[in-house]
Amino acid sequence: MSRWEPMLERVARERYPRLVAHAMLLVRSRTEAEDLVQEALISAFSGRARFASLAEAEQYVRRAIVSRFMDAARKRGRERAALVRHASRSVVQVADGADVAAGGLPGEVEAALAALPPRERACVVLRHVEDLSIRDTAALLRLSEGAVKRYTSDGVAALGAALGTVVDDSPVVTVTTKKVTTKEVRRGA
Amino acid sequence: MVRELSELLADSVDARARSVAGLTPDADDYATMVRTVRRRRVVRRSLQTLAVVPLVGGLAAGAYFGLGSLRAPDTEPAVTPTDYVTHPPRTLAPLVKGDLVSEVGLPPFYEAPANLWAHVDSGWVAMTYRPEYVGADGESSGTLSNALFVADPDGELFRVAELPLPLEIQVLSWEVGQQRVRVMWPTPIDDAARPLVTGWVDVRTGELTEDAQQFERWASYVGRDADGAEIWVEDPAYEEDVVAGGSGGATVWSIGPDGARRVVTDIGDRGVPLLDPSGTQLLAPGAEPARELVVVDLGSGDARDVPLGVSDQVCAVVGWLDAGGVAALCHDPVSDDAEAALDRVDYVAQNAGLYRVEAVADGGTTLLHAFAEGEPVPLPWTGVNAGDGAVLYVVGDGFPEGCTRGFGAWDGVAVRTVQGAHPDGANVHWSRPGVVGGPALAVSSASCEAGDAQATVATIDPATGAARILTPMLEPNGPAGIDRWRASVTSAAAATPRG
Repeated sequence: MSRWEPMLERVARERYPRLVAHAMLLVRSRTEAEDLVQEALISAFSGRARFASLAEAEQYVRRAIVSRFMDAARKRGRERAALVRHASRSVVQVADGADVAAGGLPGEVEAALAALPPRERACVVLRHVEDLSIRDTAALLRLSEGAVKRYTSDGVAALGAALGTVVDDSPVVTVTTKKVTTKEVRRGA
Repeated sequence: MVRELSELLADSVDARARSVAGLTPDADDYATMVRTVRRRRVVRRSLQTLAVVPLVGGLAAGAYFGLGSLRAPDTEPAVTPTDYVTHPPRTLAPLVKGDLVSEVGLPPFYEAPANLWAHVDSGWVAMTYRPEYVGADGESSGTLSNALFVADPDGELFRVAELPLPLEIQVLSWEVGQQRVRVMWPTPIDDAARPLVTGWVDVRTGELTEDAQQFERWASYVGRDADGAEIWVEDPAYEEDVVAGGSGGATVWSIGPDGARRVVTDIGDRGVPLLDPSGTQLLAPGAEPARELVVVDLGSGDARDVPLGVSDQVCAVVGWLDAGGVAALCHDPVSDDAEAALDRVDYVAQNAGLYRVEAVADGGTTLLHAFAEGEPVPLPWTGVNAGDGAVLYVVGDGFPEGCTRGFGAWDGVAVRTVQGAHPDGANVHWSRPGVVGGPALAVSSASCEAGDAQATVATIDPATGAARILTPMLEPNGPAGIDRWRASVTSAAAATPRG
């Protein structure tokens, strides 16, 4: 077995539910979420990245989930149609089982996210779930930093209206890690 | 109650993860993921050096990745003596076909009539057709059949056998008049002892026979040399991490008609080489693939480095033009930014030109064609020699993951567009030489992802560019209970003249 396979197997065995949960912030059915996760796993393990730990691999795959989601939206070339479809699903779709019933916090949050256009959804997830900087979000989604600010701001506003949420506007803090890399910790759009 | 967005999203993810606790990919999906990763790593590894290995056998999901070595030769030959049927007589009784048969998951076909084999000649194609479906629930899946078809040059299909359903059998080569087709099949993913099996399938009964000697790791079939020996290559690059670099070399093996096996040479960590039209030389990327080629003499095993390239540009081989020269695509180097973005953005060659490289001489180059911006360019290592200095190749949007867009050709005088092999866009997943002067084979589908959609097999006439589809697409939604097809044709090989 090659060196990447044990890690892929571990991620698929141990982190799959969490990855599916992340994907369900972007798509509204568990089937779609699983497809997205599997595409992201393929993308992550086909690439150049090497993973020293399970957590590192999971983080990479989570970002790949968003990236693949955006790629799919672009390739379809009909984001608006997709929005309509997803939004429609959020209202009428029968859940894939009792575990993904529409009610409860996940159902409420996922439905609110599903009402956002795909780019807003992706920006909100990367900024507010993955804690990516504006610059990193822009690079990952192949958008300008200005576009990321705009999409995030619009998405946050829509979610605020739907969910009653606010964002922490504390100042940006720079954190130095042991590897002397910096990570911008952000809050707000 | 006012809630902070990030905290709410995190709580939502936690709750959703708990609700799907214990969920794992089903076995089929996981196996597909592993196979796809393997295939892409081969492509990506080659891309790292700007030489993309051919996608020959792409639907085989791993037919060209490998590691390790052959088992020590046994005393008995690995390949039993060839068993020929009577060569087709000049005057044949007409082929009496029965009724056209319709079976779920298969294109319309005839059952093989008794005198079918007397009619088979060059230009016929053997193929495996293994329809896999995704169920109406979107999650279940299954395989309906595993048919061995032969198609006549007009595209009529004859089912000659049903193969064992679990085996993903790939036809590799087929000689006119021979009762057997050369095949290989992957063993299950978790079978670490032996990743593939090589053998034969009896075209009359479907009976499989395994070679006495087997590869212990993945190996790829390259073709038959001028003496009729099979050329295989073991490619450890597949298993090695791209960043860490390879740790071994690809080994070229020759398996003679009598089963005798010998190591031709070690060509380094360089993917699957291309056999030249004379069947005497192999072409592989050099140590610095964008600047260098390696030409291997199959008789002596001698490997010779040949410079590749034009100033300020990088190059990659497209395919053999003739026994002396190859076509190469040269273009501006990939910038650091573009390379860093390859995980997300396909690279499209800039200022690209098609060159003739004197591969058997000094590597001298001649510009054949300068591609205009937006003009489809050849994908490296996809070329099929079409005789008389011509090469048929796959064109695409970019690599590593851009969709392919059918075929193009250098016909010896000019670059021209070739009719697509698929009516909906011709995402060619792999191509394979037919017979000398005859058609090439192409498997393509409407999906960019091999192994994720049904495909068609077509013959492409290099002289005219005309395509003939041998296996039409099935109705996309299938009958009740089936959501879609995700596999159909899995391999194809043209009958070649008796050697």
